[in-house]
Amino acid sequence: MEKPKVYFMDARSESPDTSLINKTVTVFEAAGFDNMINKGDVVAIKMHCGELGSSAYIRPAYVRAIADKIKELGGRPFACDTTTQTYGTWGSRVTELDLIETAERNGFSSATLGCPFLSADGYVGTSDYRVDVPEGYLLKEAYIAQAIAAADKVIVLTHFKGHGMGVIGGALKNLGIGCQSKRGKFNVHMGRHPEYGIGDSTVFHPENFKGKEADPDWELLENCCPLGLFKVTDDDKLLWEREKCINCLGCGSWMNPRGIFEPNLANFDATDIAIADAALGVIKAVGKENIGFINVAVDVSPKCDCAGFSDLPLVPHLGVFASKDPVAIDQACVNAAMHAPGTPGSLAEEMGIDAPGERKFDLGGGAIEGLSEQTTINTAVVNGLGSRDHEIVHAQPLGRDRFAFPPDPRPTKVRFAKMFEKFQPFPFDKHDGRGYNRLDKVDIDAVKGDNITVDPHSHQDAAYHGDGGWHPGDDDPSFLPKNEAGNKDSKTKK
Amino acid sequence: MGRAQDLLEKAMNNIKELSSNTDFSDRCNDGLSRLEVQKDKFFFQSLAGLPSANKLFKATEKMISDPNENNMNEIETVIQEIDDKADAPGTVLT
Repeated sequence: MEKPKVYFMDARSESPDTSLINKTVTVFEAAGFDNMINKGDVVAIKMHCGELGSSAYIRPAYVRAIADKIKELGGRPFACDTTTQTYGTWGSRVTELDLIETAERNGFSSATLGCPFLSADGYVGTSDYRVDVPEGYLLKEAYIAQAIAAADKVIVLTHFKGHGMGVIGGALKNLGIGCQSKRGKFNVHMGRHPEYGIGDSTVFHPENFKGKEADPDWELLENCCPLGLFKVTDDDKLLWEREKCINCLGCGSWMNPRGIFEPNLANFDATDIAIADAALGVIKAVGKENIGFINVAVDVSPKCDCAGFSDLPLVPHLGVFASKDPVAIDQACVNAAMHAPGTPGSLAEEMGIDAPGERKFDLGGGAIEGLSEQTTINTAVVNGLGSRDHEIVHAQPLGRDRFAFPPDPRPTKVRFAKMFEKFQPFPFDKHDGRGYNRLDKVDIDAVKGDNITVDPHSHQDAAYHGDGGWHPGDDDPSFLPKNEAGNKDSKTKK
Repeated sequence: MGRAQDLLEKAMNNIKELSSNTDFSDRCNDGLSRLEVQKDKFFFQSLAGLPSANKLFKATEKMISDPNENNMNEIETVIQEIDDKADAPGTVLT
């Protein structure tokens, strides 16, 4: 069988057509996605808008470039993300209102994207399309965000990075979590699963709760659960209605550090498996022929864009990848990260995984020990979603004329000659046609070295002397600030 | 035992060895008792504490090869960092 192709361009850039944004368009074309989109197609661009506070999420300009490309092909694009489980106590994408506000804070709006930004699973997260997944290794059904399931075509545009639970945040996770409705996410996270659910399987140590007086945050132990399943009694007992737990993951960050919960590796592993099955659900809902994957492997942060912060990247920028196979594209990124050196001073160095050849995400991405960067990928091979084995195809730059400024691609003279005749921005009429008041010559070398070899006050007519004070007005009294009495001060005090 | 706990234990063994140096024994014993409080916490059961354990281990190795004030200070700085971080919520799971 022919290996799936992964189209790749590295992260070096030395001209407009090798900018990473334009390389993203280049691999889009190389992978044949332009042939996939027909005139009139509604095309979902599934991206992650980033939790409030994160900074490594995909820049809006990448999404814009893909949206422009889809419009150029006659398609009707929209960008989208989905609502989340409640997760941590102060989630910023839990409802459509949260999601849109966070997306706008992070720079995603119709003004920046050139197309609408939607919450694909509605206001609460229950707008979805249920699909059976009989081939699933663990899941047998999935709930796909409605706007994604309804689209004619889908471009899964992923910022590739690590992930605390998923270990890697690649195309498969963008499908298996990102394209699931909130209802679907509870399925993938093993809510109420008899073996892998937190409620059923976590070892609970209420005896480690120290009581209200000793624990100033005790109210958060009650308030971290959207169903109100935790209760601190008047006699300082912590109670948990564990049989009702839906695995929202809101409590872990409070219970684990206190030793009230023991880390639950099986829940994490099962979720990583379920991600692959839910990803298959998306493919079944949309159709394999209607979906393409682009991974932008830059700012490869250890944790996901859902974390609310972004640490120093584990490895330098890797490049951009495109494929019709979500398994192949993620494996290609994992391999590239493995072969890369760790970023000096990053978590990769602190974890001792910075040498080329070391797996970067088992320890750099995963929140608890024993997780594997291969679990989701391998499960996706088992359920028939794709192939780890792949062929890397180096895409070639398309030429800089392909990437002129889209609103006005005319060359400089055509655009500006007439305008400059009317509104000349250069003051030709001043200083003998030289335009500005400048010294004819200065000692350039004096300010180039480690030491400054010229006196700070040697330059002529300078009002600001770099000494913390502002000294305008020596030659023009109108610059002088007023003192309290309303008179003019000769100089501001330092 | 997890990787972080394992590395922390190695670091603590190094500190025990260093405590035989009379110039630093009080400070080493103080550090050890502070680490005893933290070692079984989720911070070290999970991967969250691995960078700190790694840093502490490297600092103790440096101190063993060259026992001096600066290197002892470095150990104490990491122990303080562990005290500050070990109970903090926010382990990233999602």
